[in-house]
Order: sequence, then structure tokens, then C-alpha cells
Amino acid sequence: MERAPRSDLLQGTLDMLVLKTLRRGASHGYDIARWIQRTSDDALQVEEGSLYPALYRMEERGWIRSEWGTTENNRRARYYQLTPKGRRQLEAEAESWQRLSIAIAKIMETT
Amino acid sequence: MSRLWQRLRAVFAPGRVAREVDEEIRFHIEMRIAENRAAGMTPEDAERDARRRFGNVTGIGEEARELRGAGLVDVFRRDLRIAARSLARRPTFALAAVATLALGIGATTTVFSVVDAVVLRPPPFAEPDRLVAVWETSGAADDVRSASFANFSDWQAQNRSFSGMAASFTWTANLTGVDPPERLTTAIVTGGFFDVLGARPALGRTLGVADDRADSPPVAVIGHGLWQRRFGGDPGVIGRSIALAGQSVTVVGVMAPDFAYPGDDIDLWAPAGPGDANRNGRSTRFIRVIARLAPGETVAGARANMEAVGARLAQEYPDDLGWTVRVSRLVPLLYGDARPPLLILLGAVACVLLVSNVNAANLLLARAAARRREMAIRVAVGAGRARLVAQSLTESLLLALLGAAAGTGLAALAVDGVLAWGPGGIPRLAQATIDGRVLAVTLAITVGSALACGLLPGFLVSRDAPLDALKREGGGQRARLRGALVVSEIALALILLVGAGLLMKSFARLSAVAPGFDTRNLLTLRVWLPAQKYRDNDRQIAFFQELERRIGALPGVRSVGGVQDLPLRKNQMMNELAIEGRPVPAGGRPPYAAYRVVSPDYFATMGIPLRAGRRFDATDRSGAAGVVVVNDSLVARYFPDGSPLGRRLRLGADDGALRTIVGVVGDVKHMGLDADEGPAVYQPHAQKPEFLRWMTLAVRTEVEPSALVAAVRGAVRSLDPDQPIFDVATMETVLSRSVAAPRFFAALIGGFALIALLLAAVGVYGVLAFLVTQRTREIGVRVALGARRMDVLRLVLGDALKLASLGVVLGIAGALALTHVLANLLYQVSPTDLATFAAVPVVLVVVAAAASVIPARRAAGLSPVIALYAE
Repeated sequence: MERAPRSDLLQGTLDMLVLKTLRRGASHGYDIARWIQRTSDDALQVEEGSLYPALYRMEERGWIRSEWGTTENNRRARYYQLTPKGRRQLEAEAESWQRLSIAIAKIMETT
Repeated sequence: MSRLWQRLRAVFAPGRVAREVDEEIRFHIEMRIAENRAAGMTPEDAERDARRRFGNVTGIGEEARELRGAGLVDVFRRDLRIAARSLARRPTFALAAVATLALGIGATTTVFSVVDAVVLRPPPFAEPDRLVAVWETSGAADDVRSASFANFSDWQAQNRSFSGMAASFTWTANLTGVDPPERLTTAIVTGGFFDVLGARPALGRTLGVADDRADSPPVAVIGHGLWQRRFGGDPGVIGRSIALAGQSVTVVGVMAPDFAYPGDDIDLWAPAGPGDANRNGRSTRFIRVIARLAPGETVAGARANMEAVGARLAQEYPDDLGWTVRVSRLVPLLYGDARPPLLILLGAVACVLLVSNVNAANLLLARAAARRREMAIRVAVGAGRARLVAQSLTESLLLALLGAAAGTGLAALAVDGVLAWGPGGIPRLAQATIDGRVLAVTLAITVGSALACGLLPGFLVSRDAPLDALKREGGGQRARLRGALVVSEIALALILLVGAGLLMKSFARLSAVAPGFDTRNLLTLRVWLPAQKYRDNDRQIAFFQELERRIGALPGVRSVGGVQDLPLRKNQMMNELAIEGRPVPAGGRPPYAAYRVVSPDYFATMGIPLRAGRRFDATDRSGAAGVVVVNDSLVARYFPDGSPLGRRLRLGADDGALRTIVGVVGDVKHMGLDADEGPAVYQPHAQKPEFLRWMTLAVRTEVEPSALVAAVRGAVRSLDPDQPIFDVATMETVLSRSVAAPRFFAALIGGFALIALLLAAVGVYGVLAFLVTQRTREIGVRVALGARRMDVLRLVLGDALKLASLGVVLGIAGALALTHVLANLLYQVSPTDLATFAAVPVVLVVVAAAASVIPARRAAGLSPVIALYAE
């Protein structure tokens, strides 16, 4: 049973956001969701569950890797962190996002 | 975690990976719930909000698990649900399939638990492969495997191959001071016995070399059965004193329930002590010797060493002349006899399992045929072929598991039956149980059956082109396949039936053998006098003579006779003979015979015919001229040309006196109905007081023998209240027990054959019913064209007979190839016995015809209109 992704654009964007989040250091899925939410001032209300398929896909691609660890409350959680490949991917995506937004802005500026 | 490691985990432990995904998601939701509650929400609101934010928990869970490679877990769970629902919709089919598989799996489980207990399980010794048995043989009676104490001591001193040697012999001792007194089967063992075997006690300690010294206190180790039976399993039994054979003996240890050496029924082990001259004689061979190979030594090396030692001893001692020393691995000797018939049993039950699997496969095929449209629609809608096969396998796995559950229940009952009615004399049979090992095998055959039954229908179904399936055509190939399966069922059933027929015929022949004496109305019992109380030879003779007189005086008793070992008990003593005027040539073997000590009335009581001369009577007392009576076989072997009456001979291990042959009696089947009787010498017990402390009494009664047991026991009590009697049984029972093994075996194989026959009949019925539906149109056309009821019946019957004959031909070929494995078990029946091979096919054809009746009648009753318009 396949859940069609919301839209290709959003999927790729979510990936980029996650990679950026992880640049700060290893986090588990919940922390990533919360950080994205807080940092965007709640503007981005991502369906939190869709984070996990994204994380797994990125792990398959080798952009991140995971490990079991313990939280401050001594609970078991899976922690993700960037790989060098992921770092490069993040730069590439950030750059293409930059170009895209400049291009859209240009179009929107014209009448 | 590296990606490769994760992928491996996903393949080999998908369940664990799936659980980890679940755990991760659960963690996320719980963190959100905690945050919500900290923000002041109620528990219900907190959870609802958390789940809402998360999204579709189940869907995401599945997707996530799929991404991690653990998607199969979900698929499997779903297939299982679908399979269960589909089976529930067709309860008769499910019941039939489950019952078929239950029979096959249950029978196999039962047989495996027996084979495991008797043959496969390692014995409770340390490194059993390093244990050997050592014995001496003169070529005469090699299956006894005994040795003498004097030789054993020399072997111990002179060998270079063993790290330890020990000897044992079985004896009987009366346990007194308890009510009722009981006679125990004991094993008398030398000090190193338990150490050589490497056996550990369940409680306390085992016997050691120190216990053999003359000045050591009398001790004993008891068996688990005795411990439970007479001491209530009380751990305080260690250190207790018991009255054994008139002595006060301290119990120092208890053995585990699975320690049954040197015999299955040993109640107690006691030290041999230093022994006496009589027992330690070089030619008194009655002990069993075991040894453990020294590190690095091989059986071949030990054999060479002991043969050299034996040769040296033979040169030194005339008693050893003509005897060689043999060495062989112990474990195969202990359990090896039971191996061939049990392996045959395994083969037979494998046939049953095959038949049940084929039947189940046939049922599944039939069902697949009925669901062709459903499957075709699924394929048309996009279900992959692999999925369909997987679903079919899941269904057959579910059926197989249900069948295994029912079958294991049946097996538990069957094993109880084996324990209750199984023949004695099969070592370790009493330890048959359904334990982890057996269940593991059950699981393996369950999964195997599921694969075997499910692959075929699944494969076929997925190959159907959807369009063909949606029409009603086709199925010719399917009919041939199902026909082939049924033919194989019939062939297997025939093989089993032939085997069963041969075994039953053999058993019937065996039972018809005349034992050489009259077995009716004969009560037998054994009495064993303790040495302490009856030290004097005269006291022993007097006891038995008085006992015989008292029992003879009881109402309902016609006569009483005594002998040391009862016929059909398969136990006897052998003795060498020196016939007067017949010196043994140098290097030749002396004559020997079975040696039986009897009371004067023995021959008359047992109804053993007198051929010539006279029986023993009151004049043959101790001190009078020595007399013996011989049997027909001895005359045939050693006096073929003349009458033996009046000739004289010496008995080995005796005082060397010449004894006159005064009579010849008929042969008796002493070692079993199937064994040839050899030469035997009878001596009156008054003239042989040594070793006379035990006797078996045979009481010829006017009435039913078991009615007199209490009276006989009373007579014994009246002479000596502390004297127990044991092995009380009517001769008919002894006779029946002596053939218990072949009877049990024939009954088991017969049962399997019946199961296979039943399943084959059901299979034939199923295929014929299917064929009738396939040929409905054809039949309709024929009827419309004028075929009568008879013709239709003949048509269907013809199909049945075609299947049956093919199956019979295949089965006969298989049976001819296989029945030779039964050759050793058959008594006077050839493995290719014509009568059996001719009768069994007839039975099968009749059964096949009977199975075709219902489909035939249904076909004959088809109205042509309905048939032609059948959709």
C-alpha cells in the first residue's frame, strides 16, 4: 500500500530541511520535527509522521546514518547524523533552492 | 549502523527490524504526549493531538517498515488473516485437509519419539563412543558375551589399552523388612563401574573401588524407579539402611531415571566385593565386562591388545583353551538390536506421511480449481504471480500448523499407548516421550508438508491465463496431475499393505509353532532364597522339596514341577560336556549343551513328552549315582547312530563325576518360538545343590491358574513369611509376552497400512468426483445419444480401475524392491510371498471400486438436459 507523497517539491524540501537540522548535530526524529517547527515559528506544519519515511529513504541513500542511543530521560531512541555525502547533498540542495527561489522571485516581480 | 548490516538484519530478522520501527514511532508519539501534558492537556486530548500531528500512524508504520525491508512481516500477517478467513468459509474442506495432515504428522511424531528414545538419544554415559564391551567366546554361544572373574582380573592387570575396566552381573535380592517383601533385580558391579561409564548420580554418590574391599560397610545405589516406588522419592533415603538379602545395607546414592545399565529394570547396584573361589573360577563365565579406551587408543588397537592377552592366558590356563577375547563398541551392542525394526518403522511412517501429504495436495488442488475465477480476477487486477504462490503457501502452512497441533495431540495419546502396551525387552522404550527434540522434528515436517502441498496448487493457479480460467474449459492437464497424485497414493498404500500382510502372516506362523510342552492351565512363579538364610545346600533342597509338596497339596493343583529357567523366557545356562569314550581332538571345540536343573515332576507337569528311558524320580538323590536326561537335539547331534541310554558324561564346572543318561525327552522351544532348540541336558536338583537358590515353579492346575495365586503365595508364606515370590504369570501370558515384539510390530504397520488405505480411498473418491464434473458434458451427450445407466457406471468405474491398476503396478514394483528389508523379521515367510502379493492388489482394486460408487451413481443420475447446459 503506497502512500503517494504530498508533492515532489515538498518531499525534496523536507529532505533538505532535515539535512540542515542535522547539520547542528545528531538528533532523533522528534527533536528534528520540533526544531523545524520552532525555527520556522510554526509556519511549517509538516505531518510529523512523514518524517520517518523520509529519514529512512535518506539513510538508504547514504546521506545520514543512525544509531541507537539514550535520551536525557534514559529512554532508548534512534539518533541520526549527517554523513559527508549528506553534507555535500545539503550544499547542493541549498544551492539549487537558492537558485530556484531567485528564479521564482524574478518571475513574481514582473507584472 | 552500516547500510549493509541493516540490510542483513532486514533479511534475517525482519521481525526485530519491524519492532524497532514501531518503537521509534511510539517514542515520537509519547514525547509529543508528554509535551502536551506538560502544557496542560488532559491525557485523552494529549494523545489525540499527538496522533493528529503524526498523521496516519498505521499507514506510516507500514510504509516505514517496508522501507526498512521488514515489509514482509506485514505481508505475512495479512496473508495469514486472508488464509484464515478463506478456510473458515469452507469448513469441510479445512477439516478434511487438517484431518489428513494430522494423521500423517501425528503418526510420524509418534514413531520418531520412539526411535529417538531407543536409538537416537545418546546414552547417559560420558563420551559413549570410548566405551567398549570385552568378552570371551569359544565360538559356541556368542550372543551371551560373558567372561569369568579370574580372566577379568588378569585383563585388568595385563591390558595396555584401557583407562579403566569394570564388570557386572545381574542378580536378585529380596528386600525384606517392608510389607510386602519385594524381590529386586540388582546389578552387582566392581568398583570402577560407574567411573568407567562416567555416570553421575541424581542424589548422593555412586560406588567406588573402596566399596569393594572386604572390610567396607555394605552399601548400595538405588534406581530412580525403586526410589519413587518404595521410598516415595524422599531425598532422606541417602544414609538409610535397608534389609537386603538378609543384610543391612546403607543407601548411598540414587541414579537418574534414564540410567538403565546393564538392564532396563535394574532396581539397585551393589558392590561385587572380593568374591569367593566358586564365583571367581576361571571357567565360570557369567559377568559382563566393559572398559573405557585410554586416550589416543582405538577400538582396533584395543582389540589387537586384548587378543594377545587372551592368547597368553589360554596358554597358561587350560580352562581358557579354545577361547578368544573379543572387543567391540558398547553402545551399538546395547541398542543395536532394536535399530533395524525401528528404522523399518520409520520408513513405513514416512510412507504414511507421504500419502497424507499427497492427499492434502490433492485437496488443495481441488480447491484451487474451484477458485480459478477468483484467482483469475486477482491476476487481472494486478496481483503478481509470486504473491499468489505466497498466499497459497500461507494457506497450506496454516493448514499444516493446525494439522500438526491435532497430530501432536494424537501422538501424545499414541505414545501413552506404546508405553502401556509396548513389548518388553526393547531397551529404553519406557523413555519415549514428546520432548523438545521430537517437537523440533514435528515442526520440520510440518513446514515441509506445507511447502510440498502448497507449492503445487499455488504454482498451477498462478500460471493460469486469466481468460482460460474465466471460461470453464481446460483442466485436462489438471485432471492428469490429480490422477498421477492418486496413483502414487495407491502405490504407497500397496507397499504398506504388502509389508503389513507379510508381517501378519509371519506372526501367525510364529504363533502356530508348538512350544514342545502344554501351555494351558500352568501357573509359573519364581522364588529366590537369600544366601544368608539358606546357606546350607541341604536346606535349599529341603525348602524346595517341601514347597513343592505343600503347593501340590493345594486344592485345584494337579502337579508341581521346578526348573531354574522357564522355557520361552529366553534365558539359559550353557555347560560343556565331556562324553565318556569321546575325547575332544586337540584344538577342537568340546561338546556343549544348555544346562537345566529340574525337579523330578518337572517333565510330567510341563507335559514334555518322554521319548525313551525314564524320568527322574525319588531315587535320584544327592549321594546316589549321578543321572541326567537329555533332549532329542542332543541325541541328534552327539549320538546320531546309537541310543544314548546308559552312556555317561561329565558336566563342565562340576565335580567331574560321571553321570549316566537315563532318559530322552522331547525338545522345548526354550529360547523363543522362532529359535531352533539346541542340545540340552537336564539334571535333578537334588543332585546339583550349588546355585540352587532360585527356582521357577510350574504349577499345573485344574482350574484357571490365576485363581490359585493367593493360595500359592500362602503356601510359600507358611514355609517362610519373609520369602517373596515374583514373576508370577500364567504360562499363556509368558507365551504371549515372548511374541509381544513381532505382534506389536505387525499391529503398528498394519495400522499404518489401514490409514494409508483410507486416505488413498478418499483420494480416489476425490479425483473421480472431479473427473465426473469435468466430463459432465461428455456424459450428457452420451446419455442423449442413448447410453444407459449401466454404461455411464461402467465409464466411471473404468476410470477408477485405470487409476487403481497403474497404482498397483507401481506399488508392486516398489514392494518387490523394498520388502527385502523385512527379511530378518519374517518367520518362515518369504519377502516375496506370492499369496500376499496376489491378495493385496485385489483388496486395493476392490477399495478403489467402492470409492467410485458415489461419483458413478451421481454421473449416472445426471439428466442430459442439465448436463448439456452445465455452465
